[in-house]
Amino acid sequence: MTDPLHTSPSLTFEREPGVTDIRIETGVALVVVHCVDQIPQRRLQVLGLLAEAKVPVNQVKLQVSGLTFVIGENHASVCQQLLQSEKIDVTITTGMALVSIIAGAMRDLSGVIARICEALLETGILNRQVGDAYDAVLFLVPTVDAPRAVVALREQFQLADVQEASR
Amino acid sequence: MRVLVQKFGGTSVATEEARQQAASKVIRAVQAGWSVVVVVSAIGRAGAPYATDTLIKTLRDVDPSVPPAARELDLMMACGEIISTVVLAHTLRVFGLETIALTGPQAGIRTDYQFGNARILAIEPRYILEMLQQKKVVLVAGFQGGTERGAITTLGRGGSDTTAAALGAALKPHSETVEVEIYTDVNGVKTADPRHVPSARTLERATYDEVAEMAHQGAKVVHPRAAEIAGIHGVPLWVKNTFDEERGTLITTPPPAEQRTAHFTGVTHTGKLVYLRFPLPLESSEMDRARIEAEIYRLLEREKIAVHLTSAGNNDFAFAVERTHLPRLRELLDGLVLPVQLGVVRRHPPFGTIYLIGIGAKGRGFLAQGGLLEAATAFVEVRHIQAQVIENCTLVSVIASGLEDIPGVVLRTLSCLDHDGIPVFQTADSRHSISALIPEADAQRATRLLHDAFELGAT
Repeated sequence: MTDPLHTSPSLTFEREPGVTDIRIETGVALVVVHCVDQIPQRRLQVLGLLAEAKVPVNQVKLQVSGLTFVIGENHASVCQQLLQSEKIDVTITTGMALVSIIAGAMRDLSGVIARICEALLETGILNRQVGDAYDAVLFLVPTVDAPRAVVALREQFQLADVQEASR
Repeated sequence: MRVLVQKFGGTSVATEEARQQAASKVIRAVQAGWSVVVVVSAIGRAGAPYATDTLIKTLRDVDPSVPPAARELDLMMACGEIISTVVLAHTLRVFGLETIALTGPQAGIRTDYQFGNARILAIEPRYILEMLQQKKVVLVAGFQGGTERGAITTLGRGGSDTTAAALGAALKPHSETVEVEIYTDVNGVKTADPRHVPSARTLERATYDEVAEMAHQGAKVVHPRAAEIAGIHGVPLWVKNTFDEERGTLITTPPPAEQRTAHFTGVTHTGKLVYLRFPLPLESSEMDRARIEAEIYRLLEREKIAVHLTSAGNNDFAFAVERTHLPRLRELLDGLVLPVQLGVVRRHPPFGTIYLIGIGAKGRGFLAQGGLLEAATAFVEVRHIQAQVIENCTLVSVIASGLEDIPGVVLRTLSCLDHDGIPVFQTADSRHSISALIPEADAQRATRLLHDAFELGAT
């Protein structure tokens, strides 16, 4: 407990609005499942097989012709074997990185995704998947492109010195 | 000094009877030895004479065609809380307590200049501490602060919850203990909205992150900003009912890692959304998709239209927007012409590709531009993107702690909805939730089904 006559008004009470941080997770794989018919049932079958094998999936996106999701690279071969054994058409791309742009109150903010796409496009990096939560936008790029993507995004959102970000 | 910040919402101070109930909570805390700071919202809801909406209407009615200045609007809106603070201070005085009523700036709350949605920059709690040391109950008008130059600002949605949590954080370094109690008209944080899910139960305990997630996904008990501030500063936050003696919900830090167990917290639904999917022709490259996606997001940014539930595939991308934005979005995008790969030096046509965007059924813009572009097809390739529009959607979410340790949550969510014939247009997942975009008409049914499927009801 401090002396009340020496109060400090310097506490930071609230998070800064807008983008505050960029995080990167390497060692992930993008799984693309193509189905020709009974698509809703096929999606459940795929998710069921992976749940049974205790393979964690995230960034699950329903696509017109099936679904896509992200898994850890260490699960890629298990996932491939499981799905192919059920004659499910699957493509797994390893060597991917999940980049998270952290921002407060994302749902009330406009322009974060636009600026991310713009920064990636200018750098010639293709985002393979995009997703968002109330506090983050996540996108998937090849791991080899991730450091360049982070530098471009730090510059775009004026987060920190570019050289420092690239270290 | 043990400090208790008690916040009373609009319904808790709306009537004399309610104010007496609120007063009894304050008196009990004082008798228990707490130094009490009371944060008060404006009296009543829309239509009540001093409710925030009524005050705004009073100003707007002067001339509906002239919008009030943001600074003056904030000054007007702040009056509702000031009135209720003084009324409750006087009520407590009648009960024999020594009280002092303060506006936000008088309480030392300094904000930025974002009128209508100001952010708290600092709190100088010296005067509050002096008054507490004199054994006074300090009442602070919620939802407001002041700029460095003395203008009154309002804190936006959930402003009084934010005031309470921020005062708790500011007083923490000067007290042995600080707790914050948010009083409302429900018994605490529920596993679902009890109006739609009768079996919803009150959570005894939840973490700041869980409650912030629930609030962001549609639960209305505590504003996420307050939960976030309390979380940043480690201030225990209680949600209690003004009108009963239930224990309520304690919002606090998660237990140590070794004691944590993965569990489901609740089911919420929120949003009146429209979902748009832009399928590109099969021959289009992924880079074309990225270019078009970027261009459309840029246009929406200019209009300050926030997008969410974004997704991208090899040959398509999709997102959701608030339903109110659909007419403007149609104006912007229907008939939009996006040149891609122009400027590539070639000896023979096509000399590039032009994409023509349509929204839903072929609109006037799409048809008009399509006609104009016909002449160009001898030189460039014109490709059409006819966006699919799914109107009247909403987002239903399962909130959980330790989702990464529970396999198959997406599967359980989709299976549950599929089993009852509720279509899912898209999903989203975060550290604390799995969300599904479904027809708005199915929202309540889906909430009930998921609440049962994840065994969240009373045992």
